[in-house]
Formats: sequence, structure tokens, C-alpha cells
Amino acid sequence: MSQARRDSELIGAAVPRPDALGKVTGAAKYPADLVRADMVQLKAVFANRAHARILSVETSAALAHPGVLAVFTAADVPYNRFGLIDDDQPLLCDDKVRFVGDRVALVAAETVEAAEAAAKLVHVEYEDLPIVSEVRAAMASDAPLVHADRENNVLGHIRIRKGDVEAAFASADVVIEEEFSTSWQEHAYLQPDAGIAYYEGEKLVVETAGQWLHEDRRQIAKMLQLAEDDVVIRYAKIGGAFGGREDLIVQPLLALATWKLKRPSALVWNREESIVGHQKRHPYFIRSKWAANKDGKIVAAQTELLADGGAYASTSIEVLKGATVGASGTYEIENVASDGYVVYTNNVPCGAFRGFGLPQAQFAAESMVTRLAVSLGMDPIEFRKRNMYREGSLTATQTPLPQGVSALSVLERCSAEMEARFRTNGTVSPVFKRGVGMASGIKNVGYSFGFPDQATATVELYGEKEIDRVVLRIGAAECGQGAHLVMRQVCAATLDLPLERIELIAEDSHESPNAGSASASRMTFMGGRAVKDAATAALAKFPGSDAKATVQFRSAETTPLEPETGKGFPHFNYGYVSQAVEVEVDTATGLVRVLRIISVHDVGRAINKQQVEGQIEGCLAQAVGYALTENFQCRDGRILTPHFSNYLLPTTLDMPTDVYPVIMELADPNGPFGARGVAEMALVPFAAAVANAIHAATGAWVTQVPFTPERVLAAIAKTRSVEAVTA
Amino acid sequence: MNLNTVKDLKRPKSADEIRQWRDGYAWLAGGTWLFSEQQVHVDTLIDLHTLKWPALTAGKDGLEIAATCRIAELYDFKPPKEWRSGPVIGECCRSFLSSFKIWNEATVGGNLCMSLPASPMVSLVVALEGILTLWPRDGAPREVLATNFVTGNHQNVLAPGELLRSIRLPAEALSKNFAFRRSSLTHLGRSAVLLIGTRAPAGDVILTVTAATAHPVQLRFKGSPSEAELRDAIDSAVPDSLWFDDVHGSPAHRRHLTYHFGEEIRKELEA
Repeated sequence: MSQARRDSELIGAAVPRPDALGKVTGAAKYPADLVRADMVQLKAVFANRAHARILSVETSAALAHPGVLAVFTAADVPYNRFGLIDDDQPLLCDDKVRFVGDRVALVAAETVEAAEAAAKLVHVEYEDLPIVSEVRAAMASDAPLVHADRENNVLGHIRIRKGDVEAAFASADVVIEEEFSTSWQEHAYLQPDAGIAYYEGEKLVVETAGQWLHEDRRQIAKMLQLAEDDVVIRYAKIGGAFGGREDLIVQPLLALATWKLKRPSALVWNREESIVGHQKRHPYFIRSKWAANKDGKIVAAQTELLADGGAYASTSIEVLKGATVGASGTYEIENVASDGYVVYTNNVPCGAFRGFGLPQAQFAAESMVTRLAVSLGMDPIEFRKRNMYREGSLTATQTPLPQGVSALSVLERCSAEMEARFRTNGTVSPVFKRGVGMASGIKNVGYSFGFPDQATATVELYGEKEIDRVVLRIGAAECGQGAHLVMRQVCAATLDLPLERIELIAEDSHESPNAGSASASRMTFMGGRAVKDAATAALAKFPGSDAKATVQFRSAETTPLEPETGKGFPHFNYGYVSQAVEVEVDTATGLVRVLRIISVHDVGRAINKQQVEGQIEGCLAQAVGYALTENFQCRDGRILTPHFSNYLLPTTLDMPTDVYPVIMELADPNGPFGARGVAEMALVPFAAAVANAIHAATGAWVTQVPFTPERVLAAIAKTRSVEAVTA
Repeated sequence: MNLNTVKDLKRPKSADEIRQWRDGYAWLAGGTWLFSEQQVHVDTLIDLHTLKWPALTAGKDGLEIAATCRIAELYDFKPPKEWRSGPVIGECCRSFLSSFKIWNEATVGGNLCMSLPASPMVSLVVALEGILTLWPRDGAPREVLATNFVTGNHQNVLAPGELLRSIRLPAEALSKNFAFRRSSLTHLGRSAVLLIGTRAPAGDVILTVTAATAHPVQLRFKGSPSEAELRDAIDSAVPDSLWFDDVHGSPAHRRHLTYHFGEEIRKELEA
């Protein structure tokens, strides 16, 4: 079979998922399915208070409970700090607790019942401290410190300056100012946090769900002061991640118990523990001031972004960088000034979540762009076209975009799809009103701001004259997105072999090389490219007894941002998206229903078309929840929505039946077979598209995500009062 | 979820077998609530299924619904045409946040005894002027008007161990015209407000407000009220403290929706 023919069969085809049957029949083993009754059962003792000094931890009553083997506290952890970027989070709190989900002790017992009963017997004496729960208050110079070793609660400040915004505002034809806010978002992965740990010979094995085998290993080894080679991370089937499993959650608790007791251990969190215990999407408060001229040119964008980072750093600073750079959207603007701040509070910590700061920043940006167009009496699509990034455009960081800028092509395709598919727009009845809105988005693929992005894969070829068997090793997390099938497809197509001949070893940090995290929409691009290069190198040695190659693919280098101006080369690759939605607004109740969605993506090349469509549709479901129903609430550090009965995920019935994922394939010069990333893009502009549609339907601008009925009604009332005054 | 504290399961053939009630006992119907989270105070479950009460008994006097009647069974019930309010049954059954399992296992009695503001079976039996039969452990059965059964969020008049046996919906109430309105943030999600109006042939109107308030509120009008009369009646019957406040809607929003849907119902019943 020719290479071209094999490519066409494997690349771009909707190759069925080999793991699908097991997942839908229940045969697949998720972390909680690995638990055995003879394992040591663990129960974490949560702080359940937002900010307090620990005066004492009394464990004797718990230890005396029948079946209890140990109660671990901070003193049992050799290096009691962890974190993806800053080691600022204790595994078990020692001096104080900083949010309700902090863990103070870990009970190990022979049974779940004993562990749960004993956990209630752990007595912690606290001295409550003032709670810092509001971002602006947390920034005040006299605010109580969440981390006593810091000068203030500001975790990071990103500053971008390009041109002269004040001069531009002074001479612009239209200047608009607005404030926006967004709420937390819960990842709500179907499989709550769980796992087991055990010894295999001398190696401590932790088998759970995560997004980066080798980073999990690094942090656990550091905490227990072990050599990295003495720790093995294995992933069972992963029931979704969406960024939520980038940080360690239950993994180090399992590792600690097994390391101390030298027995297998198990820990399964219920939904409430999972919601309270892991980080969220950041809430943002955004103040925007944008200006344009009558010729349809955006001349200035000024943005202040305040992010609630919660109690610990997680990836907050990187999320903030992404949001601040992305605050001017997909547009080349001569004058940009952005200041982003992320602040410690006693709220739930925030970190990575699909979109990584851009759904918040571009909700504001895309709302402002539509407002400018409306103010100038221009069609919002035409207005966007005049300002959108093109090949060679300078970003807000004063460097050109990487080659392959397809933003305009994507927008034009979206416009054409709208013409073809959206025909109604207007009043259905005096109460129910419909409108169409659109928005565009940009999202980086891969690591950024000088953090080197690299992925390693090993390909081993076996056979005499023909390749009988291929072993592909790549430590890449399969979170449900289909990465493993993509890796095998890329390998098979590169080697011109049937898919069945590719054996993949990907879920063991000891057996497979480091491909980096399944995050930043990077695995197909980075991992796929490493696989392709490794397969090509191995093939060059075949036939031969050593037809094996390990290749590390490194992306183009990015740079940190200059502190005063933000100048730099932040991202090496981007994905581009444009969306249109039609909504129906019940102007009496404020309820908004999304009726139809068009989501246009340049994916470079769809390695597996069905999976790409699945990514887009799944992402849109999460976006519908983000925009409309998922109203995560905290008050004084307490989480008010720790259940799915009060944290409202959209169900299939809340999704429109008319969802059109449109895939464009404008090949990327560096991606495997031209592929880019796609995983996060559909979330980036969606809230703005809905907001713009609500405006088209009602004339009201909504500024707070999610668009709850009350907020929509308030916006409509505000518009009517303005109209009355104007009249 | 596993209820790790439960040591005993009783399967009585008659409720009279459970004469002595003590802390730690729990009646088990569909188990929606019991199995949804840890019940650390429960050590004994008493399964009501073995009592084998007939789910539904329809007669000229009305409809008798056993507490153990499953939502799916109630939904499948086909009311006679002369029961013009019969479709309210289906409307209330669809006002659940319910999975396939819940739909087929949850019971009418379980939903009533949970007594949440958004319990749609409460809406149903109050609107259709139901009468509840309660079986105390230490006395004769007693009857309670549905309007008096739920007293607050998660609160009702049941004494410890007292068993809800059945609900009778009178034929007279079932024969009235009705209008139904509901608002929920998600399709088939928990109700923020659920209003049911009925109108007797003589013109008297009853408006039942649920989900918006901590317990049901029923407004009765001689004839059809005017818009102002309706709003005044709502304001009089629902003090500020009674409007329910949770993530599904603030008190102010719920009051707004009650005014709005109440007026829609008023107009619909007048037409």
C-alpha cells in the first residue's frame, strides 16, 4: 500500500476508538475500580474553615479507634510543600489553614468505615483568622496576609505597554468603557479523584488519574525526598481532566500512606470532597476601555484584569499571563495597555482550566469589539475583518505572530456558515426574542513565556524483512480526548503500517518517556510530532537489530515578557476560532436558551475527524455551562455549591440540537501532518458570542458570567431605563 | 453509595410489625435521598416495598396514590377525560432533576417526605387539594390536608416514625381546569418556581405557589381575581422571609417570577 493511501486511511479518518466499548460497558478500569478491600483505606481530614491558625492536632482518639493503623499529620511529610510552579501548598497543613479544602490529617485504617469514623475523632484546635475573600480587599495594603511570608497578597502582576493609549483615546471617534466579571468554574470531570498506591519491588507506585505522569512523579518524589526513579506513576482510565488534574490532588496522600506503612493504600473522594478539594477556573474582574475610529479601525485597548487566585499559587501566574496577553483579542491594535493581577485569597485555589484565562479575557475583549462596531453603526463581522490578525501582525507583546495566521479565514468561513444556516433573527413573540451573536478567539498551543516545550517518544520496530510489530512509547495522558489513538494513527501512517501493528505504552512513567502534559491543546501537536519524528528515525534503521529511536521534539523557543512593557515572544503556536450562536431570551423571566451554534476551527489537519468533532462538541457543552448555568458560589471562603444539585451542569437537554462544528485544515508548518491543537478553543469566545446574541435579541449588554436569569433581567431593565431617559 | 453504618434491613409485611420506633431507623422507599450521601445516624433500613401497597387506585371519588407509588408509575397513569386537571400529574412528574434510575425508583411519598421547596409531588398534591393519610407508630391513622403537610424547607408535620401511607386527590379537584407554570435554570432541572392554578366550574380560583417559597402557599379566590387583587394576595400571603433563597434564584427573582406566572395563570384560567 502506498504511503499516500495509508495516510488517507489513517490521517483524517474517523478511526473508531479502541477504548470506547470498555468505557460504555463499564469494563474499563478507572482509579476507583482498582481499590481492593485488603488495601489500607484512607480518609482525609479537611479544614472546613477558610482561614485559621492551627493550635494543636489531637490524634489519640482517632488512633484508638478499632481498625485504625495511623493518623498522619504535617510532621510525617519530609518536604511538606508542593505546587506546579511555586511550592506553596502543604500536603498536610502545619501552622495554619488557608481554605476550606485544606487537609490537616490523613487517617489510615483497615476499612473505609473505620477511616471515616476515626477522621471525625481527629480534633484540631483552631484560632480563626480574618478571612480574605474579595480580590480588591485582598490587594489593600492592610489586608490580612494569606501567606505570612509574603509582603502582600498579590501573587503576580503582568504589565503590557504598546504605543500610547491615552493619546489614542484623546483622538478617537468612539471610546467605550465597561466592567466585566466572571465566576469560578468547576471541572466536573465525571470521575471524582481517586487512586491507589503500592510497592512493586523497591519502587513506590501511585496509580491514579492525572495529566502529566512525569511531573506528578517529580513532585511526589520531592515531597517524600525520594529519587525520582524510585517513584512510578501509572494512570488508570481517566474520566476527564480539563486542566483540573494538572495539580496533584489525592496522589501525594496515597504515596505518603504507602511509603509510611509499606502497604497498598486506597483513597476515593466523593463528589463534595472533589469539588471542595481541587482548584477551579479563576474568577476575573475586568475593566476595559477601548477606542475606534469611524473608518472601523480599533486604535486602543486598555484593560485591567483582577484574578482571584485563591489560597495557593497553582498555575495562577501562567493563567494570568495568558489572560493579559489575550486581553486585546485576535486583533492588531497599535496602542495597548494591560495590567493583570492575580491575588491570594482564602477562597478555593484556582489553576488550569480549559482555555487557561482566555475565556475570561476574551469575553471582555469580544464584547468590547461588538460594542465598538454597534457604536460605529458597522457590521460586527466587517469590523472584525478590518482589525483581525493577519500573517506578520504584531501582537500586544510587539512581536509577530508565528507563521500560519488563519484568524481571518476562520472568521470568513464562520460568516459564510452563518449566512447559510442562520436565517431567523428577531422577535418570536412580545416576550420571547431571538438574536444571533458571534465572536472570535485565539488560544496558544503549547507551553509559553520561555518555559521550554518538548515531548519525547520512542519507537521500536521488530521484524525480519517486514515490520511485524511496533512498540510506541510516549508518556501521554489519555484523559478521554483520544490522544492515544492519535499517537498510534500518526505512528502507523508514518510507518505505512496498519494501526493494529502499533502497540502503545503510554501510562507508566517508568516505561514511557516524558511527553509533557495533556494540556494547553498541545498533545497532538507536540506528542504527535515526537512520534512522527521517532518513527521516521527508527524506520531509517530498519531492517536491523537496533531499529529503535528516541526523539525529543522541541518547539520554537518562546521568551518571558519584559516586566515593564510585556515585550516578548509569548507563544510558538496558536489555534483560531470563530463562533456564532442563536439564542432565545425570555424577556419576562430572563432565561436564555442557546438554539444553534456554529463553531469554526482551523485545526491544521484533523488526525481523527470524529475525535476533533467530539472535542469541539464536548467543549461547547462546557461552554454552555460556563455561559449560562454553572454559577459556582463562595461566601466568606465557604463553597455554597458543592453538589450537582446546586452547581448546575448542562445536560444533553440543555444543549441545542443544531451544533455545527466546522473544521478547517490550513496546515501548520510544524505540526504532525499539519495538525494544530483544538481542545480548548471552543470555550474561548463562546460567552462573548452568547452575550452578543443576547444584545441582538434584547438590546441589553450582559457583563457578568454566567448570564443568570436575574442578571439578564437586570440588563434588560437597565437598557429600558436608559431608553426611557433618552426618549 | 454504600451506607456503611447500616447493620440491619427489615422487610415487614405489615407496617404494624414496626411498633417501636427508635433513633437509627429509616423507612426505605425509592432511596433517592437515603443513598445519595452518608447517613451516619441510620443503622436500620425498613423496606416499604414488602408492604405491597397498590400504587394507584382510581375511583369516582378520586385518585388514591400509595406513598410507595413510583414516579414512573404515576407518570404512566392515564386519568379519565373528565379529570381536566389530570395532565398536572404528568407536568409535575417532569419537574424533576431525575436520572433514569431516579425516575424508575423514586416514589411519590419519598418526594413528599423530603419536603423540599422544589419537590414537585408537593406541588401536585397541594394544588389538587390532596389529603394525606399518616400512620403514627403509636396511634390511630390521621388525615392531614396537603396544604398543611410541609411546614418549611425540609420540614413537615411527620412525627418520628410516622409513616405516610397514601394521598387522596379528590375527584372534585381533579375535575377543575388548570394552568401550570414553572421555571428552572436547566431543562428538567430543579424548579425555581412552580405555580399551578385551578378553576372550579363555579369560577373559584386556587393558585398554589411552590418552589418559590420555603413551604407551599395556596391562595383561594371567590371567582377570578383582578391583576391587582392577585398581586395583593401574593404580597399578603408571602412575607419577605418566606421567599426561598438558593442558587436557583434569589427571593427578589422568585417574587418577580411568581407575579409574572401568577398573572399568566390568571389570564389563562379566565379565558
